[in-house]
Amino acid sequence: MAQFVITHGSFKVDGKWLGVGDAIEMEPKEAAKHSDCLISKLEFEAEKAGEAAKQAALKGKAVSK
Amino acid sequence: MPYDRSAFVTRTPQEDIAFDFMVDASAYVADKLFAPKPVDKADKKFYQVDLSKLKLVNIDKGTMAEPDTVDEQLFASNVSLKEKKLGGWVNPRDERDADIKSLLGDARKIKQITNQILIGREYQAAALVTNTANYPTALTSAIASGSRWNEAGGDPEADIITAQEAVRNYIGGGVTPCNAIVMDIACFRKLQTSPNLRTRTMYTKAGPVPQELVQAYLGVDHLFISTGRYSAKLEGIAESLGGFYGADNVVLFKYNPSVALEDVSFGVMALMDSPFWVTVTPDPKRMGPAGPARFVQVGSEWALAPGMVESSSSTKFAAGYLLRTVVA
Repeated sequence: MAQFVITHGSFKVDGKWLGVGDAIEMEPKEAAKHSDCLISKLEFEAEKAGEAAKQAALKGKAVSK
Repeated sequence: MPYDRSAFVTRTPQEDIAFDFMVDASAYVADKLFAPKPVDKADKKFYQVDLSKLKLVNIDKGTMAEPDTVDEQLFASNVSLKEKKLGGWVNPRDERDADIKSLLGDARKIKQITNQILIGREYQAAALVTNTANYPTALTSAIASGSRWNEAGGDPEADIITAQEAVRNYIGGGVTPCNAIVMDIACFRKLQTSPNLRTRTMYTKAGPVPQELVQAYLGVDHLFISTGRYSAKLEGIAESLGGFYGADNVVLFKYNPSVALEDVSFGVMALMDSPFWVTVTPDPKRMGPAGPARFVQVGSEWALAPGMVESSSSTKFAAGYLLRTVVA
């Protein structure tokens, strides 16, 4: 099992509906079927960290002006 | 009957053969998902009303007060027909010598070519409707292991109700905005073994859960089962026969076979009002004892597009819902 984050649509897991941004556990082989709707949690966190760094850099630039 | 015979015309007996074959080809369901709409030119606009018509406005105004205005915003989606055609040879000597001549003549060739065109159309239609990227995020979902419809924890009726509610937020349409479902025969066969559906018939029906009961449980007026098969075989690769819509996808959609351009349906198939052209050309360079070889060409023009989109800036289907991995 590996951790993924939903990026498009929703998933029904154990009778509960999960939506965009929710984490989901799935076999990588199974997750491959939904590659356009899921992203691995590691990748998601790296993207999030990258985005935060970009925002911080932009903020710094705005302050330095 | 998706093809209104009073709206689509044929001009020759050969076009009749192609048209009638298309109408009878019940293995394909593209004409259910994409309602055939006759058009008279290659570029056409399809209009849609946006949600401004649902705006709550102040209606309490006296005689001397000016009324609030009602703005019904229309927007258009451009649809451009694309040309499609295929050809094939008829050998007059083979036809002369055949024990069953009808298998080798022009009519048979026209049907065979039309079938290949329909396979191409079905493939293109399925590629559009089974692609999650073509749906708003609220109109597609996947069922994970344990909740699938042929598993003990599966609940197809509840999942369809959830999907109906999601579509209603986009297109309105009363209690059940979507009145039809498309699924591949492989998916249907698995759904027949759903424990949830079996328990409903175990004391009253012999044999597998029948199609009309599956349709009734899912709460739709039409259950279209795609039985068409195609081979994705390329040169040098082993035969690979399969269905068009995937063995575990279900498309819940608004079926409306009306030919009127303003009527809402999940998808539209803009089709020239004379849907086929057919030519049979003798080739003087290929003569034989039974005359010249004949080249048969069948062609059509169409475009597949959403019948209703999410918004004026979107090309995503709004009058339907894609459920994936519904069966194990």
